[in-house]
Amino acid sequence: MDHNDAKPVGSFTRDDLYSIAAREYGPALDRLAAGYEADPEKRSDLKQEIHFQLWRSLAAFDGRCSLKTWACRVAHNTAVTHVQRERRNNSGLVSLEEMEHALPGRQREPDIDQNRALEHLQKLILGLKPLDRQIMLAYLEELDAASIAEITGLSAANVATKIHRIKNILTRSFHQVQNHV
Amino acid sequence: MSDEMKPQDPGALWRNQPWEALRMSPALLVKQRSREITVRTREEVVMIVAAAALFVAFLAWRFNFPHGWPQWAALAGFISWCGVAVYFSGRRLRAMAAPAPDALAATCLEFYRRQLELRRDHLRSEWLWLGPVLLALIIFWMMFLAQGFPGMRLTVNLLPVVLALLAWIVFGIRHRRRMTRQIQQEIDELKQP
Repeated sequence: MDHNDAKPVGSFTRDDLYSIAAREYGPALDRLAAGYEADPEKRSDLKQEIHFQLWRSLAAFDGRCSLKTWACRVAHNTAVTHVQRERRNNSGLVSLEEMEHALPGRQREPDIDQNRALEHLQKLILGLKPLDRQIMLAYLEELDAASIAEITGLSAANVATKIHRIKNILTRSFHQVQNHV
Repeated sequence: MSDEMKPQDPGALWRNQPWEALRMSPALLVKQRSREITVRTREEVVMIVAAAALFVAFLAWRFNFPHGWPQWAALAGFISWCGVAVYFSGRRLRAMAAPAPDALAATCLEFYRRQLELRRDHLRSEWLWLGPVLLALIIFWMMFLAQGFPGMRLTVNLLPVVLALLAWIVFGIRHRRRMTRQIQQEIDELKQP
């Protein structure tokens, strides 16, 4: 649902907009928090912080971008602030380029257990530098390059290059089953 | 997990992971944030008074302080100012922790804004919370005036403590002014519909 379809932005209160965003994008915001914080307790705090900042920010929402884009921007920026504040292992974070080069040439065996595969994916995401992590998370949420560019502020060409790298990394890391059938 | 999902499709794997809805309304989020502000303010008050008291205790240990009426007067001034700082800070904290009934009846947004304003006022009253530390420094200079030059070794030993305290004061002022600006910005944002 897009709030713009029903009523103009001005006729929604901040709480209305927040309710729509929380209902529509709640699962994506939850996953986004998981992409920035591995510790479950801190993840819960981050999730609350994201929701609070989203609610706060909606006072300034003017409908120039979609509510989804707005929510993603706020969530990513809040999460990046969280990562910087925590200052844990930041020096060990790598770019997509570095990750792509560091991956072994041989594809790893697929995990039978979905949880293990998810853990592996989360580990990959948590190892990325914030901007690349934003793109990876947005890509996994099936956002198109234009939307990712709108969220991150990068050019569409730059986003396309990074998505290409992401696809490469994911293919090599996950050894997708359909390739073996 | 959906049946169509490919077992190792990372995108589907990511999107289909279990998630938990946030069981907090904006009202509860705001209340929680208000509580956090109160706790942070209390910690700051305790820290500043404790730092000043520690410094004076350190001076007492190194200089056999106090002796002579000016030093006793300075110590009395220090204790009084600590008392005043604790009293006014405590009053503000009580107002934050247990607001007046009419404040409680306000909307969450209004309530939160009031909490922010109280915190802003707390951060702005620099003389109140800086007083004990500044008095501690004045007492330190009185040591020198009263005893004459206490010797190079003692001076060198004390210098790091004094410099650290001064650096802490400068850092504290800058940090609080930055926080005040951020809080004011948040208050202004909350005034928007």
